[in-house]
Amino acid sequence: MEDKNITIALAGNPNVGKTTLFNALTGARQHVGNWPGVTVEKKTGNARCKEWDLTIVDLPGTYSLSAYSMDEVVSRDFILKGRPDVVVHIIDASNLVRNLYLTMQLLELDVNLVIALNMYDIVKSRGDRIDIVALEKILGVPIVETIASNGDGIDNLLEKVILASQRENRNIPIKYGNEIEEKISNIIGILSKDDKVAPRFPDRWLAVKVLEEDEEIMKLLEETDILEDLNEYMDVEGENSELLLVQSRYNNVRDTLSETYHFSEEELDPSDMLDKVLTNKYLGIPIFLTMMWAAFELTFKVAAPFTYIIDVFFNSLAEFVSQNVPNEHLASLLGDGIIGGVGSVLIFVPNIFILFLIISLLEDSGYLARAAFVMDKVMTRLGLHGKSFIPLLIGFGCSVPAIMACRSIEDRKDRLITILSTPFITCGARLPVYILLAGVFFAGREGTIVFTMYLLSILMAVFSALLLRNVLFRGEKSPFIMELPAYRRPTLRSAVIHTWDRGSMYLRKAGTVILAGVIIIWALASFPPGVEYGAEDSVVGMIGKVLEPVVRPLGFDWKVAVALTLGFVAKEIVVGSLGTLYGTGEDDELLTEQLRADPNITPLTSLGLMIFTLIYVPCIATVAIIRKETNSTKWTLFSVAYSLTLAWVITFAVYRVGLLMGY
Amino acid sequence: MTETFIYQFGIPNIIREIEHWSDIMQGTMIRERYLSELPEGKGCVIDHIDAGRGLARRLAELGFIKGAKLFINRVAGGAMIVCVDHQRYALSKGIGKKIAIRNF
Repeated sequence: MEDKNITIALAGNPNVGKTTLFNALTGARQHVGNWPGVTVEKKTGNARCKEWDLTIVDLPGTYSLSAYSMDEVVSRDFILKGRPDVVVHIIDASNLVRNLYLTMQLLELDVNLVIALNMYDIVKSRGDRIDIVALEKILGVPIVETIASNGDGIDNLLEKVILASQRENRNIPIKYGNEIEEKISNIIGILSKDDKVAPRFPDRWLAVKVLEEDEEIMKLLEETDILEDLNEYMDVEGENSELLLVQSRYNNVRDTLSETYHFSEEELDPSDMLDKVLTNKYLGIPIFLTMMWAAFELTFKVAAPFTYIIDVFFNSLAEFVSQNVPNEHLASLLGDGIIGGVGSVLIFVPNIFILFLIISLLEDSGYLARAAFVMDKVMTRLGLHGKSFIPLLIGFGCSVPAIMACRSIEDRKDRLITILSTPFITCGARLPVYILLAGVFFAGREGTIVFTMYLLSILMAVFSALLLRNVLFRGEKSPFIMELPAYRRPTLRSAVIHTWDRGSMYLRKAGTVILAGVIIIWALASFPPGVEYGAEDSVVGMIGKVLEPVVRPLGFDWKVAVALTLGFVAKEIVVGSLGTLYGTGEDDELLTEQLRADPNITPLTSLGLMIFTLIYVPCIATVAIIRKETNSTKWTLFSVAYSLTLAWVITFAVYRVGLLMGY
Repeated sequence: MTETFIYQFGIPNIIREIEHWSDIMQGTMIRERYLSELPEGKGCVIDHIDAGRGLARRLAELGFIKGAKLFINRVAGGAMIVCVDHQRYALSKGIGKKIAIRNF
């Protein structure tokens, strides 16, 4: 028998287990890209079932299919124009009302719908009961129970999908009240006169969108000559017709459920009881901070051995290469450049993956949404959003996953402010710089100095957030509405999937942008041929000389300029390149002596160097991820220029004040 | 003076007059109540939403529509947790100020 292709689109609200189901269906056979022209991520995957080849497209999670957000536009455009054979609507069975609202809209889109009733186990554990047969009958849509987190019901779902792809669509579109129905049929009548826009959409759906005055559709209709005729029907006496339509859809959902959903007698919801404690006025914040502290402790404790192994591996690999590759340049490129550079990035992989795993577990349990609620008041005062707290916190580990975590912030302004402020939080890579310099110049007071740097980094992030909020992103703060999912026991399986989803992006970056970056920096440090790596007469040394006048007012000489330039790859390289520049190599003790002996570096300049390292341009990896997450070269360049300027100004101020005070 | 006043209008008339004015006063005094004014543990019904088109739609799509029953689970600082259709949402008080309620 010949193979046949079916295209399936997965639609659903956010947090219904869509990603988990997508992964369960496709396994590793997936491709991540962007929807054309927008930053919304597009995931496609393949699966086989008997003789069928299935292409599965994961649509962004949305509550509705109006033109409210990019996600919604992307989803409905794909359904309308991509014409998938079947749309699988994944529904959180524990929250049927709002989920079925989307079903009502999908029914109107005239698609072959199959409903995956996910998380049915939660409904059962609550003691509630859903009459699935009756629900199937009312909606005219096949329904399959699934538990995506352990793979239950997946085979059954695939079978129903294939069956559905073979039949004519029997969806029963919902009926609005008489008054609206009359308008709809009038509008359909007018639309039938148009041959430009109307033929591209289902009649009834288009009529409803006209009543809603949907932005995208109205834009299209402006080109036609039926717009004036339509205007007559658009307003339902005094009321906003869009809200009336939403209302009737909801009434439909409620009617449907009153016949099919049976609530248990139980009054006490465990989620409410947990909320009483976890969001308590006095306990909420301490509990949250304790949890975050524990998460960090756990991350670094568990990751330490892995980090060590990776470190040892790359060091010995670099050594092996430099000893066994005959060509000196090639050996240096491989050893100093590629292996050293990529190694310095991969060393964070264990931290990132474990931190993400913990965060995924917290997210799946439903706690993370409460944390945003608990922190909202504090964060709002700081010009940020309740959800900004998590990225800032992750920033202490590494800026890259921190910026990736900003995705959960819906509002673009809030997200940009958080993305641009997060790099100021001092990441793990900056710590070696503080430790070395504080050890050299502030012996006995290292702890205080390092702590001060951490404090300064928090101040910088807050200052930057307030500055951006009040200067660049003025205007009303976006209203804070957030779904608080029911608490549930997280499963390792879905947490691992989420972790891999996020973490693998970091790995991909390490393989591409960062690799290119380290090769460029290596070339700068090794050319012209014959120079010592990073020495005065190499290109980077010359750059240092050129930059010297710029950093002179900060008390830095060309060596520091070179170290800072090289630190662009990863900030801990600042230490390594100082070692190279002072000719001490990996020997930190020797470097300590040399630094003490250098009249150009005083305790004050070393403090300046620490501050500069803290604030200036985040590393290549961070810049790459800012570019990816903002999808804007403008904002990426802004971030670089902004942090450089801020670093210079603040270091300058500290240096000058210090000089005046006689240090 | 006072005596003639009472005499002229008669006590029953005065009472009627007071009642009349107090009705009018009440009519103007009964103002709209908003979700943000309710304490924890109270339930209510949405009367209408005083928000711009975008926010009104967003709220409606989450189930905050005319006639929906709400329950206030928690009020803390600038935000509240509200339950509608057995689903909890965190809202800022600013949004609570735009949701007019009745039957609280």
